[in-house]
Amino acid sequence: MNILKTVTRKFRPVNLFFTELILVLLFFSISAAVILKIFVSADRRSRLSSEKENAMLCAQSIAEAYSQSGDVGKALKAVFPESDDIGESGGNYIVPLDEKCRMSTDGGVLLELAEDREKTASGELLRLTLTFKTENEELYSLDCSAYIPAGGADNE
Amino acid sequence: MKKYKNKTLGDTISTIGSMLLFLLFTGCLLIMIAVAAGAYSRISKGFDKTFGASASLRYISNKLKSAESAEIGENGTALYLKSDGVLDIIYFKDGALYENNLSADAEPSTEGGSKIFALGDMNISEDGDLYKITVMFNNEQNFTYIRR
Repeated sequence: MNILKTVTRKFRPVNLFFTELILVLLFFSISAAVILKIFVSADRRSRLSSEKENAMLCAQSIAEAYSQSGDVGKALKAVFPESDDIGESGGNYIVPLDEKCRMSTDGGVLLELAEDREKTASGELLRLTLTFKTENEELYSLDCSAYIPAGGADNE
Repeated sequence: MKKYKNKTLGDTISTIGSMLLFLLFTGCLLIMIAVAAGAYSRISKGFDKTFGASASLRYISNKLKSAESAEIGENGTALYLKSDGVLDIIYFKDGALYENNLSADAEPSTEGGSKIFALGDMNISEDGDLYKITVMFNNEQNFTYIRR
């Protein structure tokens, strides 16, 4: 009985101290995990907003050039002077870009351009939809149009 | 004075253990602070790089769109915009973009304007029927096209 008393007296405070330390450590580990998750999310959002901003600027330039000429090829050539062979099939174009909207096959952004032509009595109404996509989601989309009078774009 | 003559091996181990735990906790905390500082600096730099360039491009393009007439001067580093009897001069000088408002009949001058943005370089050129506005921000070139 005396031995038991001695043991209890000796080890109880130590155990309590360790338990408290472990609990504190557990609490801080959980907090650290949550904070790390928030950091990763903030970093991802920052990258996404940067990609979106670049896509918007790029889309605006293509839209302005397209509205002026009514020619997707010319508009793309103005914004991407290095674009010699952009794949086109039935009025649809696909341009591989990097996150800064420069032409690159290694980048994670894809620009899709879909053109629709509508003939009217006095000319042709052209509509172009620009869509910037990443692997998982759509970054940005913009519709623009150009009107080509019957005499051609120069007579606009 | 109190003397700890009856200190056992268990006491020593528990002291070392608690100190090691404290050390572990301190180490984790320092790593967390380093990660946080890295993330903050990356976000801040990215934000500055992206939005600094696009803000200046949008500022110039909005001014250009709203003007009644526009003329490029000083080898592409100045833009003379006229609207409602006001001559608005947007120009690049000494690593910054400046704006100066004068009356429409005044002599255009790239002096005495107010600073708008700090930029590496700015150039406006005519590309067919489009204006090409190019700005250099943090050693990175950005451009946009505006219809004339």
